[in-house]
Amino acid sequence: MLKFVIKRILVTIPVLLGVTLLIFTMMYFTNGDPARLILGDEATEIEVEVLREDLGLNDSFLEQYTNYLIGVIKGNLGTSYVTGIPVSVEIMDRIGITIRLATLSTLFAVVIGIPAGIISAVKQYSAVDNITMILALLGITMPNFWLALMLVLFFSVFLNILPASGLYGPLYYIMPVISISAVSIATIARMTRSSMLEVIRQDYIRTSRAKGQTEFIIIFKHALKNALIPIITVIGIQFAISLGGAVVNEQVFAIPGLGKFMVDAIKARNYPVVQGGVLVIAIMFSILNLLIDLLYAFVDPRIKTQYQKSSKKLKIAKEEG
Amino acid sequence: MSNKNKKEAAKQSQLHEVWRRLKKNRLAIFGLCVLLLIILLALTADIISPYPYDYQDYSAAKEFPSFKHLFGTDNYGRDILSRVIYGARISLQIGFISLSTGALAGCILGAIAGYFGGAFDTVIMRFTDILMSIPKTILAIAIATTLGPGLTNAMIAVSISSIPNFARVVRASTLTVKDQEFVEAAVSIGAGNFRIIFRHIFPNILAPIIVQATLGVGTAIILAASLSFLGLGIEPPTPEWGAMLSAARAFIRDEWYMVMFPGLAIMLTVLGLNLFGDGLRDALDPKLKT
Repeated sequence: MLKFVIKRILVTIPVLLGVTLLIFTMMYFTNGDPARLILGDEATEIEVEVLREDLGLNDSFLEQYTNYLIGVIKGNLGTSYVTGIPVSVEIMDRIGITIRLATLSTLFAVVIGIPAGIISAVKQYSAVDNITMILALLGITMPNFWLALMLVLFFSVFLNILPASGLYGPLYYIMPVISISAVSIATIARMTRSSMLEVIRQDYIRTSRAKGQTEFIIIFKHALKNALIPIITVIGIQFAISLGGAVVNEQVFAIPGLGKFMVDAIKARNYPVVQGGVLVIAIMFSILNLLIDLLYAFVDPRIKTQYQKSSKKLKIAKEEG
Repeated sequence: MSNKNKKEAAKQSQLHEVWRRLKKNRLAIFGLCVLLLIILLALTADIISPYPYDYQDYSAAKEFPSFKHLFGTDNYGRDILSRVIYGARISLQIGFISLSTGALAGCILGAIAGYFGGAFDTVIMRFTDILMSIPKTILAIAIATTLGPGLTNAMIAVSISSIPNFARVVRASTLTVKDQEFVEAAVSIGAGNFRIIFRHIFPNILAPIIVQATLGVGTAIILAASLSFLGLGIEPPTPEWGAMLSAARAFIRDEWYMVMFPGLAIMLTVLGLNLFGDGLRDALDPKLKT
């Protein structure tokens, strides 16, 4: 088990290095001279050239990347062109909001999506099933920013019961969470339904029915536990989608999170901020994926035995060889 | 000749079989009809749209939907219905072109990884791991930032973000197919790698690719619309649905119809694609159907 954990952690490191290289390369080839952007149009060529030298922009690609990487490892993501404040500080101020939005949305999606999927599967082809699946389909096909606009239209403009922008209290979370999580609710409900349908047909479910077990225990103890693995995968993916959704939705609801910060930075061509934001999101997502994989190993006994087997096999091979 | 005919007949009957199963699925046919209707609208936009998409009539700005302007007019007095119809052209174009280029690249990478294995596999799969460790929307935003706004750049951003999914699906399918007897037979009669991949492996893994592609076009359309909505994709005055929504946002309090119709158009298009895609998956692989 420990071997699996260590191996999985070691695999994450080169991927993260790759992410830094990818992001650095993208921003390296972005149009516009950073020195010119910082100094503005009035600065002379000489001033710009001095700053270029200071910022290390005249170094080779490899040197610049190495410096960038060393900075990232030390937690230094560069300085904002606009405010002059370190990007890491600015991101830390805002990332909490985005993480909270994405986490709340994912939780909301789990709380609504899994029961909806279970009911749909247990009552397959019933009216409840049909309605749930139609709603799920709409959830998947609706762009979340448009749903956000429609919610604003309905609850803020027509009914005037929910605040349309900002983030000053619990009420302010309702519409963003609904619009971010709609896709996830739908996906989790569909996944739960199909996974449950598969499990419900298995022999051991029939066996427990035959021995007279109550339907409640059959569904929640026997069936759901076995149906859970594909659902966990989907939940992990949904967190990433919620992060992306939060970035877009923060724009609609004027929420001062990482997403709005990044999009504003793009418009101002404040590239260190964009670079830092993407990197932080990628790192968070990689760590989450790592945790999900580890969670699998605990939920799915097959993975555990796989690793036991290979170590036992090795022992036997050593003894023989 | 007779041999060729037999081959044709076999192919036809297989297609026929898929179509027969698809026809039974009412939702899938509904999706197909919606999709065909939107494609038709996009193709005939010049003829059927009541006004040119950029025709501005300031005396009729911000008009509520009426018989003259079914979807109303925007703040420049442009007919929203016409802009939505022209928007179909742009959104479908983005969806299909960006997805097919992404799919092509992903399929080639996935096939190479799956077929050759070894170092190819490691390098390509680590590359997709890297792309996948950035959420799709964020990756598209980052690429669009690098390239700058515009139709082509938005398409490139969307297509790159769809590569990893295809690479993974194709790699997995290639792995299951490449050890089968017919591939061994092809190797033993001296077929080259290229020939084996394209003539023998691809036709056998087409089903998951087609399904992934149909569902992917919808995702691509939404992704491109999100980019435009954030101001990173298609710029005004081009009548792209996401860009229209972005522009209409400011008027949500009084001219709510402006934010209504472009969104409905996106939803209807993606709905058609998803219903058809789901049906196609069931028709192509009856085993999957529960």
